[in-house]
Amino acid sequence: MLEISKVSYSYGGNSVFSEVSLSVAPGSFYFLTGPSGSGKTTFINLCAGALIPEVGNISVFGQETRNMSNYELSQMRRRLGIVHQNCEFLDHLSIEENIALPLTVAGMDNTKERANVLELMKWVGLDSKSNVKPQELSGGERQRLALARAVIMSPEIILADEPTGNVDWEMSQRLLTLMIELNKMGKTIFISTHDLSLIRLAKSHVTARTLRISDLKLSQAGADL
Amino acid sequence: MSFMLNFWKSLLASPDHIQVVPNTGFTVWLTTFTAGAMSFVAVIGLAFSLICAELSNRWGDSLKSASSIRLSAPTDLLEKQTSIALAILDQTKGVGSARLVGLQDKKKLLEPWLGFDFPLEAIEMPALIEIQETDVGVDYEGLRLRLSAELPSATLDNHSQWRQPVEVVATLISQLGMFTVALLVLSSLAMVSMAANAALSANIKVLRVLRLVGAFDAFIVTAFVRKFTFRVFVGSILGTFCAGIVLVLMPDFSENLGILDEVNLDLIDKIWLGTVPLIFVIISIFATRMAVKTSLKRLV
Repeated sequence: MLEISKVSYSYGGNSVFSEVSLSVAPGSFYFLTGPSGSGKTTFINLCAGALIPEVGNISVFGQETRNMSNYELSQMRRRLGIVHQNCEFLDHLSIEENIALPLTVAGMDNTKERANVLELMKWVGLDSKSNVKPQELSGGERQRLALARAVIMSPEIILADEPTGNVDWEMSQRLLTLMIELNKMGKTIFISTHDLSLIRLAKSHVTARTLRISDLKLSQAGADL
Repeated sequence: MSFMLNFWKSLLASPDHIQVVPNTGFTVWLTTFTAGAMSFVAVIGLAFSLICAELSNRWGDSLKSASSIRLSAPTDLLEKQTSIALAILDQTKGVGSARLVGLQDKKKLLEPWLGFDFPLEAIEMPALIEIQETDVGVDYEGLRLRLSAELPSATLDNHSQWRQPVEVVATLISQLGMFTVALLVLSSLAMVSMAANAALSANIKVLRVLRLVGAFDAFIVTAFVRKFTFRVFVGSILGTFCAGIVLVLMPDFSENLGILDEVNLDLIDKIWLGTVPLIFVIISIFATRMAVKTSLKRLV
């Protein structure tokens, strides 16, 4: 599903990874941890095709991102749900329209899909704010909105970059619960976080692997995580 | 052709394209105002260029086929000499018509210098015969020789001395007008490109979000092109309309000046002016496409 093979990446000569490899199986749950600036966001961006590795290959759904055209990258992103720490929305659209945006751009904005949007809004607890604009939401609500938008196309993999970075513990738990529910539906979850208590909490509910980026390498974290 | 047809179909297709680009912000006014101002200048420039081209043709045509005979003689001989001159012209090959310029016509000719109430009849004036050629043309050398033999007081003027410089000046003005219009189209392209780039810089987040949710580049390009082209079209229509009003008011000025009073834009010219908004639509499509594609290339 997601194959990372001997990938190296650097910014202006400063290496972030060196020959990192990973194979992600369908339905698995991963946490990616590491200190600030260790390359967690870069890793997520590489998996999402927003960055192309300098050395090595990243293969998503059997196709190498390096060889994908812009059209193919867009097709791939429709099968990925991406949630960023500083999530961005179209501020002139309502919450409902923002959640439906992936459907709109894919030309799937029909009645049946609209029903799914309403269901998702209930699921993330934003059903009472369907006509509100994103800038009127709190940090936690924005993260839930980003999650709802990420899963509307029923993606096979969800890549979340520090989704709980800007929210309190209660909201973090709520977001984690949603992620666990998605994983139980068979979705592959990949979350980068530096919140170790969140990882511990997740492991009490679901089988999750924790990876750590340090010293340019990706390694399995200790059993205490 | 089919590409343009498909493009217009996609422009007019789903309203979803419109909703992803915001309707607000300073860039809306920037784009519309730029298109309006450039259209106004383009219409005025094009109109003057067309007027100059028409003047150039008219002057050239009228002078090319016209000449005159001036008869300077005492008043008692003038009528007889005029009759002889008209008889000679009647026998000359290539003369379409010959007409004695009357007192009223002379007054009108001299009105800019002498005023409309000058008593021209009180002074001794030479007789003036206006000649219109046929397509065959007049043998001026032969006519000049005959006149010098039979009417030594007659002076033949085929206007060649001042026809050529007038034609050259008129042609130059017309060419300069066309050059100005070409420059205007190019500068409009640059201005619309800059306005589109400014609008895209203000909407870079929209591009990022659309890419994130899996929008194809063609969708993003079409969304922005539709929005900007509509703004440019509205601005251009307003600019053209304002320029049209100015042009409608122009004859009043020119009548007072005593020049250009017979020069008007004909239907073909007006159709040309009406194409300005369409030209701006085409400019907008290409400029916006280029700007969006460049922005998408830069986007990580």
